Amino acid sequence: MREVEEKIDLRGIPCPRNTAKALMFLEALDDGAESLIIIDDGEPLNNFLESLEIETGYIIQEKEQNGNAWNLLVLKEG
Amino acid sequence: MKPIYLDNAASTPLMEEVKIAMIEAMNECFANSSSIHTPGVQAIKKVEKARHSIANSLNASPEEFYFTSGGTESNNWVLKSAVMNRDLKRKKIVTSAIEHPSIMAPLKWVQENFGIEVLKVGVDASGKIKLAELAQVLNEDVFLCTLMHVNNEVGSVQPIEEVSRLCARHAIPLHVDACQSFIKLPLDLRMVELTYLTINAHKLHGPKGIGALYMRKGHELPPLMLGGGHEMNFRSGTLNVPAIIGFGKAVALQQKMPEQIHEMSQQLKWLGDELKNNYSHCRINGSEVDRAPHILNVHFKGNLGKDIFWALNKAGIAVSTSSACSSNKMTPSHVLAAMGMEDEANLEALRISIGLQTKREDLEILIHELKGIIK
Repeated sequence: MREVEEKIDLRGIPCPRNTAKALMFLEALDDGAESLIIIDDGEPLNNFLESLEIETGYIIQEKEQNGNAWNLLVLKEG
Repeated sequence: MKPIYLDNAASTPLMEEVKIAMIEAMNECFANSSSIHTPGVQAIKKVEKARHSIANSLNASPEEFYFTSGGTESNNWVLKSAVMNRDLKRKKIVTSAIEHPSIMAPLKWVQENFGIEVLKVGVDASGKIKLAELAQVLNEDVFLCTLMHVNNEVGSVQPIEEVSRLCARHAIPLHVDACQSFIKLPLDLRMVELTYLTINAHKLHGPKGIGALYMRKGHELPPLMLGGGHEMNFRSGTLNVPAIIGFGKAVALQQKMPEQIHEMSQQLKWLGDELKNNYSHCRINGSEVDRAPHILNVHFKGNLGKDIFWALNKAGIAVSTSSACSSNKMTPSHVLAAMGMEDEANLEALRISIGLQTKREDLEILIHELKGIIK
């Protein structure tokens, strides 16, 4: 996965606080920014992806398993 | 005459912006912030924004703050859970002689129920802890030191940086009750090595029923409230979202108001000087210089505090006495007694505490009314 400057590690943070923190993190980025979100596998990942679908302007460019978590490379389209 | 409220150390009126944010939250953020649907996520996002505001104001990480129902709960949490969590070889808690009842009562409880020894360090005539005495009692038998930052009756400011250094020498966690000082006095948690911090909202023009406990990373205490695992399993109970939003708003607004907070201390200095100039028998209880910006404690020789209190109340001015009504009679303040004040002067004490809403005209009216009351 490509190296990016902006990242947030949400491993160990329960739902829905992890989703809230991820969305707040994405909202604070500039348009066009790429960022890495690391989130636990299972319900945390599913819940975040479901919530992100409702938000507009974000594209998951890459997705890679990282042990018991997932690395998501997200583009903020703006 | 419009009522004048000068009891802001007890509680403060809501800031208008806080009220608006809370009403909006009550209308729109009613979902349970633990729910994963969109309204739930919207609610928890606002909670996290408030947590960020609070953490930023203290230069700490948001993950180190846990919302509670207020200062009393945060204080109870630390004291009771520290007993459960302690190294069993350590059997003592160190505190000061002038703490708030929400510290004194749980300390009495752990003393009676767990055989914990509570050592109360004295204060000087200005209400400051005696550091030499404190240094003598801190040793490897102590598992917690708990100290208020600003005293709620006289406004004395404790030297928590020095205290934190003394505690660190013996690896003793330090808990600070900052309910009276939060936002009013600067505090940087990256610079001051304290372990736990109690804060609340209603002393800073935020809502009642909401507070927080800061626990430094790596020093988390077992929860007091068990249930659904809210707040990272540390404090169960459905989050009071509107109150948390109000708390965050009050903090964010006042962080941008250092001039107004400085102005409060100027107002209070002016009031103290006027009272001393008008009444030769007026004394300021506690330090005149090293004091919180909002609390002035005075006594007028030969005048009972409760008599002045009721006379001012009739005139529409709310203040406070330091003494308390217990078993149908007035009992002297334990704070003023610890500062060496005799019972007679102790019962004469009157606390005047101002807020952001207090105007110079309010204090001028107070002085005018006192002229007809003070003997």
